[in-house]
Amino acid sequence: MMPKRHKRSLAFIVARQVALATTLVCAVVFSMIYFILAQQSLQSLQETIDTDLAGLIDIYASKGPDGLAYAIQGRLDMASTQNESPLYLLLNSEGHKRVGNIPLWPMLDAAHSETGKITDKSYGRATLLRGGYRLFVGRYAIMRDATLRKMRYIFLLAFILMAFAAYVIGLLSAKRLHLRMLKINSVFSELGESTLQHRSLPPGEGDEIDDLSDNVAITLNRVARLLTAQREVSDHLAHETRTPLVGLEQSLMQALERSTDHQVIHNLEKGKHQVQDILRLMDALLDIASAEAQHGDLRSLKDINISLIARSIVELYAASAEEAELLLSHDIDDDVFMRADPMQISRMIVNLFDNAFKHSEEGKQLHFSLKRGPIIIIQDDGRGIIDSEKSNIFNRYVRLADNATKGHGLGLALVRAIAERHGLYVRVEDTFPDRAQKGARFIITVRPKV
Amino acid sequence: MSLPRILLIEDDPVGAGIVTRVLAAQNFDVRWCADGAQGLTEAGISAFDLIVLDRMLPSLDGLTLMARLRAAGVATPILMLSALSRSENRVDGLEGGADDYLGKPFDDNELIARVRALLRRATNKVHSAVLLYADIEMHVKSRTVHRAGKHLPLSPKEFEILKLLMEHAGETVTRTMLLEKIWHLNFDPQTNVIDVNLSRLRIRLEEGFNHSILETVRGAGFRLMSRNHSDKS
Repeated sequence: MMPKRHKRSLAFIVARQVALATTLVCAVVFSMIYFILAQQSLQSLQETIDTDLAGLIDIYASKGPDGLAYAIQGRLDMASTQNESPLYLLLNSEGHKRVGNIPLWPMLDAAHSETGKITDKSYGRATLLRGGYRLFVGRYAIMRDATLRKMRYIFLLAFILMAFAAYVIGLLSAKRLHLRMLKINSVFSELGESTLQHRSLPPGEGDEIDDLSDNVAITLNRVARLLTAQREVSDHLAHETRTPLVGLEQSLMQALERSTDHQVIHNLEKGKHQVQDILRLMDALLDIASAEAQHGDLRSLKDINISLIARSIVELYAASAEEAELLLSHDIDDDVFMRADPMQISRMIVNLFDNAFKHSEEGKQLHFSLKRGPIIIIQDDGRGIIDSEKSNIFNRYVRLADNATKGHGLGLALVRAIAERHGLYVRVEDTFPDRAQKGARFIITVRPKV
Repeated sequence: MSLPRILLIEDDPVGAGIVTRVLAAQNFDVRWCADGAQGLTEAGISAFDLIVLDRMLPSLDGLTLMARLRAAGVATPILMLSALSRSENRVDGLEGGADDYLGKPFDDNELIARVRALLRRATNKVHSAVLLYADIEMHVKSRTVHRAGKHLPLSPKEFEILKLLMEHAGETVTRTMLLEKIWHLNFDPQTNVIDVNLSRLRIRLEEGFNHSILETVRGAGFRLMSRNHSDKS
């Protein structure tokens, strides 16, 4: 079997989730770092302004307005003209500018007095000095903004790189894991009843996957050994019990050849048929046991076209239907494929037909259909099966109470065993629940998932 | 022409006695080996036309023996005989290299029919394009059948059945052979489907003709047999 491509492969789900988690964590961490840095740079700007202001107040206290104007002018002359260039304005008590590099007293917004924000690009503090002088000290924050912007770009780039790397690494390791699992799974699903060889498993890497595959291999080996043992025992039992019966049958035949007495011939014939009955019964029981032992085990089965099998069997029964004056119709989809044992599927359909013919006395029609799925239906319009018998009709030895048909009552039990061997499920219902003659409809479908 | 030589490998003396008696009555030269290993040696030493092999042998089981024979290049047709007669046992045997598989107990006619079919297959491998028997003429390629010059309209399956009967004309073709060759079923349905199908074919073959040609062999099967043609070639 080709390994299936899983829509929900665990490995790929893990890869996606790792990539997603990495992306989220990176986003959160980077934002936090960014805001802390922004906060700190603002704080240091404010401290610079505060220190500057405190220094100028001291100068004013010791040297008076002229000394202060002189100091401010000195600082303005020294300061670089760009980036964090300082802003000063000293007004006298009449509100006239003594010194400074801004033309007007800035509009100080009460809402921003805590941060000292003046405009988008500048921060500052003002104070009223003794003697009515007003002093404003501020800084342009151009450099801080540029640094923060650079940081944003670096973080965004790092973020994209990390998410991409996480996705690629996750994908690669998921792919590797996926391929390993595929290899191991394909080895297990290809296995028939033959004993698993350890060397047939892909080379391991000594991790927990190897432990798992080893354990599965051990279990499968045990199952294979049990199946072989079960088969050997049943084969031997069959052989040892059948051989004397075969001898008995031969002796009866020889006696029959020599006998001329009608009563003796009658009894010998009866004995011969009984022996043959026992042999058939044993085979039927073994067939059921064998199919049950392989319950749901599709390994070692090939994909086969069951439409061809169904057509051939319908054709085989067409003449019987005509003879029984039954109208046999069919509706068979082309090319319905399933993993199956062709002989068992034939047996299952043949047994359903045999059953339908055995109970056909009062019916007029027999319809067979095979649809993709597969869904196999065979329905008649005969007497039908009473509700209390519907549930146990597939049990061994059950024959319809009101029916005197011959047989061991194992035909439908084998139908069920074969259906279940193939992961299918068989049930019976009324064809026509509203009529007096309800008919029987046997349906075989894929077992509904519980 | 020398008698066909058959090697019988069977540990059970009663079973071996029956097979020998049935086959010897058909003018076959039967050599019996009760032991698997001895049988293997025997098959290697001299040429046989057919090997009848029991599956469950005490020293060397039939499937292994068959594998060794095939590995040694012995291509002699093998008819496997076994009390393990269920469908899946047959599949094992046929996949293991047997040319045919017969479950015990078997009908004498069944054994004879299968032995003859295998011998015929071994000696007569060329399939002719036209099969003739009595006044029946079958063109295999164009899939047409005429009886005494009159075209017989047959369904594809009826054609296959008649072809099998014509290939074994004069000999019995058993119900199980028909099930296996025509419908690919290696188990017996519980209803008389084969008889019903054959009686339909009989109507097609005989309606409007005076001579019956398709015989039912009681307890065994069917054969084409013409009264004017009863000496088979």
